[in-house]
Amino acid sequence: MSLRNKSIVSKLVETGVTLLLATLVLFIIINLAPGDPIRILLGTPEVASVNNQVYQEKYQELREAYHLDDSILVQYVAWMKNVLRFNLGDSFYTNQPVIIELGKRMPATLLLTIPAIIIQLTLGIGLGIISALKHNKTIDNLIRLFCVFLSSLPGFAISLMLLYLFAVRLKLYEISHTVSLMRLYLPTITLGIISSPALIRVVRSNMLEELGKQYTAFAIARGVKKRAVIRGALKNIMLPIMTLAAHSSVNLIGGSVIIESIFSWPGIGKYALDSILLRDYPVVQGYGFLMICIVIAINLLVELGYIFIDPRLKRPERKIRWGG
Amino acid sequence: MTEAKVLNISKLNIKYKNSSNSSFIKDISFDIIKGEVITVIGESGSGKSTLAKALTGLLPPSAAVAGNLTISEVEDYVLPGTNTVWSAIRGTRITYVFQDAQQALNPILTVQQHFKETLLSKGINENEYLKISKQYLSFLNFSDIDRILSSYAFQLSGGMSQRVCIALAICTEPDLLIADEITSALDTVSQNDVIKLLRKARDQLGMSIMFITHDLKLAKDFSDRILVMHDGEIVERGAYQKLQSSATTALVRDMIGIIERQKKDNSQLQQISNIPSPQVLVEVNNIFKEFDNFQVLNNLSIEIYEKEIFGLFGESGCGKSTLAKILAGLQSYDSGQIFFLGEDFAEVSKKLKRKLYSKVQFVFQNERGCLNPRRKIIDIVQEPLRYLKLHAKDEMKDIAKKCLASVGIDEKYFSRRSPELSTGQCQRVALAKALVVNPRFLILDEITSALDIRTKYDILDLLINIFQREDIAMLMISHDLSALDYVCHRIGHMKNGKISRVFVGRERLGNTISDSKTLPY
Repeated sequence: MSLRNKSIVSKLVETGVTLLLATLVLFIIINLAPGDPIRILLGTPEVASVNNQVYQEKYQELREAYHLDDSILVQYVAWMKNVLRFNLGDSFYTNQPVIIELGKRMPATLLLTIPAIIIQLTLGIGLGIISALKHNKTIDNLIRLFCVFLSSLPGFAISLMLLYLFAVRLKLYEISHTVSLMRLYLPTITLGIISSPALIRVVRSNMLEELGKQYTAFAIARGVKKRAVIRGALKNIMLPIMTLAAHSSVNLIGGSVIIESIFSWPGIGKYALDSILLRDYPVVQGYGFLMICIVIAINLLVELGYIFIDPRLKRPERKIRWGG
Repeated sequence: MTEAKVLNISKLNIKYKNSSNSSFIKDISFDIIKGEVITVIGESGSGKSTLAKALTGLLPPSAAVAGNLTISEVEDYVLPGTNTVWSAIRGTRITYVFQDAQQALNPILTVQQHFKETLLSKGINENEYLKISKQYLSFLNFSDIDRILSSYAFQLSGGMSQRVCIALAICTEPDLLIADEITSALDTVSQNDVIKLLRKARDQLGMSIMFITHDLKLAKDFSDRILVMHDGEIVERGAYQKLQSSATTALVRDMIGIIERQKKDNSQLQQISNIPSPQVLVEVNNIFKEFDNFQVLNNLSIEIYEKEIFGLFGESGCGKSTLAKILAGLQSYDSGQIFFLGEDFAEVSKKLKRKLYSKVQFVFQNERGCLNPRRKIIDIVQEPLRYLKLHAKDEMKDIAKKCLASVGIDEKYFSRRSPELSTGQCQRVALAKALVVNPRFLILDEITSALDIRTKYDILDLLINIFQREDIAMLMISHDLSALDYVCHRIGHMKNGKISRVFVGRERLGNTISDSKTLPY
């Protein structure tokens, strides 16, 4: 097996183990959280039933039906078995399968975040490169000022400001809670812009470092065109860019809660927030599981990307032994 | 040889904007004739690289350049030129090759992609560039061209990368090739290869070469004319013979003196060549070490005596540095035994091992990289004392001071940091850092290879001085035979992961290896 294939296989195994551990932790935490799901399901005895005996029987029956008296590991295995059959349980409130509830809202979130990621990458890489090329010139200073300004304001403040400007003042944006393309541009642009400063900085500082390296000087010295020189340097900073982009896309998908609430965009983040407030445990569990899967999938993609982008990773590291 | 001038530079002045003192390069004028090899020689910091970079417009914006540049007697430019001017000159007229070839290649592009970006930038179309690349690689004596084209820099040896760099530099057929210290990171064999190839490029392509070096010996064999630089000025110019007979500056006389002294005999060695005591300090038995299915160390055994300097040379990649790292405990080995002061490293307790290792110290090639740039050197030298807790806290500073003084660092430098020191001084600090714990065994990995010739001999003299003063044995690794010859009692030749031969005292002085051209590689 080639070294590249070997590292791919080991990454896949790692991913499997991470998925198991993360879901186990999630499962334990949710089970440790205060509150009895059956009592919540049945309501308190006084209200739910006049006859305590009946209530107790019903309560026991349900606890057994949901295997709640088994040890946590046995419950986990049972839950995992269901998960493997794409069964995340039913919502306490709508009695709909959680997977369907989440599935209904996922497209709205993706519709919001994917263009936002594209905007973030374009702004981040573009402005980062310009900033590095015009190092310490006016345009570089302006870009840096822009970054400081954006990252020192909280995301929700910027969102509210833009919402006020576009919806109230300019009347270019419709405030409602439906999904439509006309309602998409503002939250998308906002998300893209507020997540770009970190990427601009990473691209700028890494680019400056690469442009200062000898291979850049040698490329310039033998007359390679500016475009090609920049392309060569950019390829070398793909690793930090990918790492950051992956990190922030996880943040965008998982953390779009605030933006979705402000723009009342019916996405998955808003749904999770509402479910937490309503103690809808199957939904919270399902949401947690979905997020774990997304995080792991994105990280896996990035690590596999590393192996394909950087030829040096094909070679195993030469480890230093710490003597003594 | 036609007398056509490829390049003429007149009244070149360079000044760094943030430094208040006068120009760094002062009023330099010279010309280069077609097909000529002109060597610019000087100590580090004399301005030779700055001069060369000014000729390709590669200086940072903080450098203020003034002067006139004439190319092929017709194109006149006032320096500093604009970007358009330079992009017309670079590659087509003048190309610059750097010292460290591995660093000069983009780590994630293959050699083929390097050729592609170079040739396509010069208007050669997609269909032809591959043919041209192959042609130049074969010109530079590569045999397995397809493998080279698909390789990355890290897959090539130092010598191979330098040849690739030269191929990249000449594939656009420039009139002038500036070669900046391109051989100083290479072992002697690769060094000779590269010089031969440069000569071939000159003879067959009619290229002029501006060769920058600190090694007068190389300059002597290779160049038509030599320019000696000192403090940003050209202090001597002419052929080697002329310099030898009529050089007026002390610097040049010194450099010539060192070469001539090397030729004669080795006075320093005689001074220390009292037979080392037969007490064994380090014993290595049948060590094996494998990396990526490659046997780096293959059944290697050596003994190093107390009070001895043992030299080790061999081609790049023969396992010298791996052996050094294993001896210092920085790397594991697959099988074999290492005894130090009679104790088997693999068997002793952790505590004793720590004690033993404190008696082994390591000095690296890249001394600057080993010194934390943000700490004062007096603190850096105290560091090992603190870790090993050898002395009371209040004594440490005095011990460190004494140690720095003993390697020839003046007291006024004690509170400076490494970026403010010269390369030679950094190397001295690195030595002090190793010596401060009173080691019994000192491993020196290529410590002189980045130094210019005068500093090199200063450091070697310091080593002899330390050796005479302290109860210490040294393992000195180098590809520079003249350096080994200068200080070592015995010299081992390493080949294919083992010591193939050990040269001792007289045998060695009987000219077996003293002439580097008849190396027994």
